[in-house]
Amino acid sequence: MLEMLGTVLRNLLSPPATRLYPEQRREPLASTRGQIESVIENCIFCGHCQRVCPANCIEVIRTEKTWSLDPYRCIVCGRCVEVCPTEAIVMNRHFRGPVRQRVPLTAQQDSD
Amino acid sequence: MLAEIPGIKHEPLEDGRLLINIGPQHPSTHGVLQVLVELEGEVILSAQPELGYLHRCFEKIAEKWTYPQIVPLTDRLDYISAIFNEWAYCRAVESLLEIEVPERAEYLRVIMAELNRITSHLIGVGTFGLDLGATTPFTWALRVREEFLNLFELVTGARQMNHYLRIGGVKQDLPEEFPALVEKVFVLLDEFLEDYQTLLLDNPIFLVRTKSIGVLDPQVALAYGATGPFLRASGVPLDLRVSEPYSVYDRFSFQVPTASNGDCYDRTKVRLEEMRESASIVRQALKQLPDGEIRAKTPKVLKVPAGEVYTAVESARGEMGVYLVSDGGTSPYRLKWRSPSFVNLSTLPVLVKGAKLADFIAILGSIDIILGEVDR
Repeated sequence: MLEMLGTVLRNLLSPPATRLYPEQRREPLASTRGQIESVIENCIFCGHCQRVCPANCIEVIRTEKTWSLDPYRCIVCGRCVEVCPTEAIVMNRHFRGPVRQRVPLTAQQDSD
Repeated sequence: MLAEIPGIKHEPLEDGRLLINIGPQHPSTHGVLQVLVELEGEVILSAQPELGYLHRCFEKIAEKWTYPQIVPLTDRLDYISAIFNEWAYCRAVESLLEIEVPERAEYLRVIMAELNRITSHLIGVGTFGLDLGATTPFTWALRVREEFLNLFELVTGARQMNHYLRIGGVKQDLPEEFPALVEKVFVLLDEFLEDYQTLLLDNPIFLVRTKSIGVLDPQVALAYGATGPFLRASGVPLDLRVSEPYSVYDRFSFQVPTASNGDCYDRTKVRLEEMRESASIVRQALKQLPDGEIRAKTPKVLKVPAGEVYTAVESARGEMGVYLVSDGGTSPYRLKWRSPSFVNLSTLPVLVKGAKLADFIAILGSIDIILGEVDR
């Protein structure tokens, strides 16, 4: 009985274990894989990311100088970020939110 | 409509017997498992597990993908403890390639795998309480597990689909503050284990519902090929980490917890003890952690020499084996997965025969299956 009283008091005085989610959000940790983003200025269109992608969601077209990714097919494994020779693909730590329409992420480099 | 199953008639059963479906949407089946149970009164005459609701053609897909691409795919098999899947697969590829994994990488693998064993068992014992109607231990277990998942996110980048191991090493090194964070979480784990003991294991209702329920004979268990805590609860001290020490497991001193009765209570007890042992292994590994490389050099386009190999690791559920056949190309010729959940589940008809229907859920929960791994 006394033991129970201790548990009750401890639970009354301690803060809740959960967060009030939509208001309080946890900062993503240092190496969290959130979503893939492109830094198209660095891209050399080698197509290496396209070949290693397990979900087959990246399309690189060298002639048109475009790089596109289907974020709703991407499993955020981070392989493309690892293999990119020029750091043209970066990992954003924040998760992608829900959307109403599936729009692919496309980036085009200005032709000189 | 029922599937055609040999031995089970679909006409109205004579002499008052009853055929019922448990699952595939039953909350206690831990996924989508259907079990056809034949009852007489409330005594189970026979039970037939029906698999395949979560079949995703893993083995066939693997034949089309390159070796490094399969690593994130293996995460999706046993999604509660993904590191073991990656480890079993990477060991198979590494042994065909004859790559020497750096020592530090091996230690990092052991650390993450043992942490993963703890999170997996937390789910196992937590949901087992839930199956028996005790909701509090489940929420407590998940609260502790959340802290462990934060560690995984910190090191691997994701909470469950880790994709941490690479062929020839691991993805990245531990952050500097990691040992201190682990110690903090272990304090929470110890508190949880004590609470779980008083809340559930010493609870008279829990004892009545688990003691001498679903007793697995060691001979039957070995005949069916059962492994892991499920087998060790029957008194067979078989653990791949000790019997065929792979990686650097021979450098740690730890016990292999066993029990003698082989009932549902013993299986829970063995899992709890294993969590303590895993914590001790992580502490030793962090203390011994050598400096050095974390990833061996591998060619950019990975071609594995022709040959075949079988490697296994002791996962949270038992022996997780990979049989890999290579024809010298960039993707496997055949990848066969020996999943412990599937083998352990095959003992279910033996375990539940003659038991009461109310105990069926307790027995199924105590096997601790993951359907993602059973069906692949």
